[in-house]
Amino acid sequence: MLSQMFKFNFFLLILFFSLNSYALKYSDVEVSAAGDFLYEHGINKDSSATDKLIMRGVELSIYAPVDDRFNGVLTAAAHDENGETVVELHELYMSSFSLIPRSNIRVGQYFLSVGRLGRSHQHDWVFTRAPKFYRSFFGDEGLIDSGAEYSYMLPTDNIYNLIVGVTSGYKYGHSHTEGSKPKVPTHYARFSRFFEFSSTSGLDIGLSYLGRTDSQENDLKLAGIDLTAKWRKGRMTEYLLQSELWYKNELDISNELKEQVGMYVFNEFGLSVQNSFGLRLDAFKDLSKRNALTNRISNNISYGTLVQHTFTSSEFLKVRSTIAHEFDREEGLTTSKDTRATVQMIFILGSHPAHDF
Amino acid sequence: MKHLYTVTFLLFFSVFCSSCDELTGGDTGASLIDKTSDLIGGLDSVSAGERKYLLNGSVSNGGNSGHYFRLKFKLPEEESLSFYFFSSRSLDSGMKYFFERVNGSVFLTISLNGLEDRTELVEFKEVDTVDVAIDIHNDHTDAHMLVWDYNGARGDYEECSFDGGCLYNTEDFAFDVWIGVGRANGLFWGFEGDKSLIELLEGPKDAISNV
Repeated sequence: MLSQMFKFNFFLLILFFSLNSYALKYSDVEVSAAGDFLYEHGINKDSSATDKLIMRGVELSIYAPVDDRFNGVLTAAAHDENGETVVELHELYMSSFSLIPRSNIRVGQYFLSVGRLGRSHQHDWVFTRAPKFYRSFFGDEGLIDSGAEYSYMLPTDNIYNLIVGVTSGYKYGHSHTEGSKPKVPTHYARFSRFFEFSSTSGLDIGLSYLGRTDSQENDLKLAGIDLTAKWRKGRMTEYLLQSELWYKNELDISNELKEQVGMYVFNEFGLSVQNSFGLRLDAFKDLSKRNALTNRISNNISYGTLVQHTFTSSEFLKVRSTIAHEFDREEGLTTSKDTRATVQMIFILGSHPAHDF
Repeated sequence: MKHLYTVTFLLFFSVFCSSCDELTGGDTGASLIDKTSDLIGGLDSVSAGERKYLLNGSVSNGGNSGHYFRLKFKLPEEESLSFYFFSSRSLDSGMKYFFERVNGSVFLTISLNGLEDRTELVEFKEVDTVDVAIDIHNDHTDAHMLVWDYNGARGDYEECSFDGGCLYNTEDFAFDVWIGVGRANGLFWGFEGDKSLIELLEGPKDAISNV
């Protein structure tokens, strides 16, 4: 009797797992894992490069249609933070293309759709490390927050797209805390136009705006323009031009205004399907920095430049070698320099959602 | 395409080269220092009020801004010194680091935006000179502050306040003391107290921790 019961239970167990596997296999659930690890080596003595191999991030993504109207996305990421692996929720949202014509609505936690880098995950960026101004304005990875976003493609012959969103604004960018309730939550918009040169080449230009007033009544405003142009031939991108220019304005409770501006221009030349060569130039200026003793506006600027080679083994594996140089100048002196060599390896297991243009 | 390569290369090469020299700043006019400046701890300073001194150097602020400072000073019994970071020109805002010696022990009280925490710096008990390294990350959401014994360990991980990796890490008290503390708005730094106690000051430099 016991033997029969055991056989029956075993049968049920096998049936349960088989049905589950069957359900997963045929339910359009897509799972992927992206690994991003890098070795960076300081070339000058002042470099803050870690001189070691670090697992910068691994991202596990699950996405699927929830039903005939909604899709669901879950992205969990593990990062190296000073030798410790910290796991955090990157994205958890549901979205729908079918509720309103020509529209996409998403609700949950996600990367805010502003600028160019902000709309993609770090491991999908065309270079290893963001420019200095970008790290200062948005943090190392871009902005993540929870809220709602509406995207609408205008019913015109030309391709125009408008995105507007509101998120909680308790936290902004780099944070180790839970933040606090803002006076005005984070709100943002991006208006873009796509120019199609051919079936494989085009230009995307966007204007972005972001605002937030934090609990200390610091009123933050950011405005930016981003540009991405690609010329492709078959599977090879012959030339990529990507650039962003951002202006930041923050008015504090004592009515003191801080203004900063930053930009980068990145060019990448395809040498073959598997090899490309890239150059980036970036600049960052604090327009309101003052000399402490004279109270005059301080003459300052930060420059950065990099050269890189990317080996694309397949769409699932890239190896990128970079030499980057950043330096700050103030009052006519070079106040800091950072020259570093970096090798980055990115691989993707499983299926990965399609990238933006 | 051939010319594009050449032009781009020359553009990048010129940027590489332009950081190699050390200019004097004489032509910018911005390095002019007020005639009333005074050298304290190796840095130029100007008065910011009674026993208050504004020190040379201003921080980058308005974004994710991190800076390092070194403070080396004598602290006799019953004496105290206050240092201000990311403050206004009148040193009445930003982070305040208040050092005091009571019965041979050195206490540090850090305050920002109405919140504060006090800790004993046991490393400097019965030691005449206090020598600390400080990183202040005026992060996007809330400031993150670290204090080390300049000659001691330089840990920047969570819990370093307790296991000896640092003297103080605000992250270790982020959910009880520093809840929603916010950021500091100012650009300047300075101190209040007896300037003859100051031995050496450094800052603001790039943060030495990456947190």
